[in-house]
Amino acid sequence: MSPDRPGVILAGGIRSHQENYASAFASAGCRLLAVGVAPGLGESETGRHAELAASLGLPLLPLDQAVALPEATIASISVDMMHRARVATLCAQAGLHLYLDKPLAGSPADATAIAAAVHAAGVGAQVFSHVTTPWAQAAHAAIREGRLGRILAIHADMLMAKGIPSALPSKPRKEQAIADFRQDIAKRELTDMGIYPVSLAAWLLGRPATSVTAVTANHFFAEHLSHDVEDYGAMLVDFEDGATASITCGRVGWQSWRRPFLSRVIIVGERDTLVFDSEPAELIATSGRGVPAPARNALDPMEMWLSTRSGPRPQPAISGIALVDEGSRDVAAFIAALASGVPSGIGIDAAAHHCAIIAAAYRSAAEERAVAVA
Amino acid sequence: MSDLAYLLACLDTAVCKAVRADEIGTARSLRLHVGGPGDDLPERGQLLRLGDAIFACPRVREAQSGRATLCLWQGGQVATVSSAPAPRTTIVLTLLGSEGALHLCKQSP
Repeated sequence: MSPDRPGVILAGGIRSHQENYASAFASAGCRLLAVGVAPGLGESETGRHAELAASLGLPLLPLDQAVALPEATIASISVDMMHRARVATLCAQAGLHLYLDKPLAGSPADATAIAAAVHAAGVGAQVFSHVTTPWAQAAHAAIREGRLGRILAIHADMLMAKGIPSALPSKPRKEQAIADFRQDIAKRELTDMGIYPVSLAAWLLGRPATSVTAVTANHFFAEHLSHDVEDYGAMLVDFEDGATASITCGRVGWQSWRRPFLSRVIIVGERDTLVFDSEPAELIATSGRGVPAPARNALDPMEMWLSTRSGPRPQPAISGIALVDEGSRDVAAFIAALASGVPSGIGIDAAAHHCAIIAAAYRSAAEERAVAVA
Repeated sequence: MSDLAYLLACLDTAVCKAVRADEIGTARSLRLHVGGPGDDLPERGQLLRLGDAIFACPRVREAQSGRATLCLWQGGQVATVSSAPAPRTTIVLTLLGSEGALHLCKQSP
């Protein structure tokens, strides 16, 4: 292995977060070696692995052959939820460090199994999260430095402003206690989006959650409703030592925010309250391209006077141009952690606990009561 | 009336006016956090009354943890509201609708 350029095998296909992770590992200077296909995947997922391999110009290998490549040191895993424990275990047993899609697993049992495999193999592992972003790091520093005093509450949101909403009936959702994570055109958003604020709040507080009260809803998308999965969730999470987190999460439609997502945390301490959010450093572009110009008035071509104005002023299009690709930071932090031996991001045991919080939230929503986190 | 109370009254008026004007389609979810001097903080009931005004149907479920409240209305609408004593005025509001959203994130220096 070249310590400067770790070799990465990809377990996952196109139309999964592996698209992002592959790009992030390449950006971090790693060598992408192959796409590995685990035994037992469905036809569709196997096909998506092949599509990813073709798009990246990588060999498509059976997973057991991919993990045995002599230069492989890292497995990036983003397979469908029901295969995660099996695939992660196989990769860990091969001695590879694991970079894992969020959430770690679809059930506490699967999450515990992955954590056990990682510990048994003695490999490093990190689960994708927002905790390595500059705004989350700034929030963590504010707590660590004692500027806020004892932390009383954290209020965190993760709203994905994508997708085309529909007019849905206004009624409460009836939740199921056992979550089904078969992935199709719509995902379970309490899990898929909720894991971000859950992991962020738990990481900031640095202590275990004890109980959860949650509701789920179908507010926006016909796709979620037709698959009987929630597009929105909210929860109250109690932590040891009395701190509370309130969390909202979901996919809320393209009209809801000017960027693809809004991620935010309010930290309430005894001394002060601070707000941190995901607003990136960006250039704001205003453009008249494609927008009809105002009518030219020969007496007042500089538009100086009220009396010469006619009708509302045309508005230029506004867009933001990101200066930094924030999505690559978590992978870069993982690479740095492997090199330094100092863990960063969300580790395997924390990620398993976060899965337990999500599972308790589904039970709470189904049973309409507070549920202890196992 | 304190600055915070005045600001919240203005916010209530502006939010309800925007909802009535159908600026965001059908209102579905309210997130509201208010921070400020302890004497000026609104009661939990006042925060939820904004939800009553927006959603215009009865509440069916409420749960509390610390100073945070999770509330469900009959039409499936959800509010997550909280308050906290703080030296600085803080108001964070996100009201999600079927065709848009209202956002406010204000914190005094």
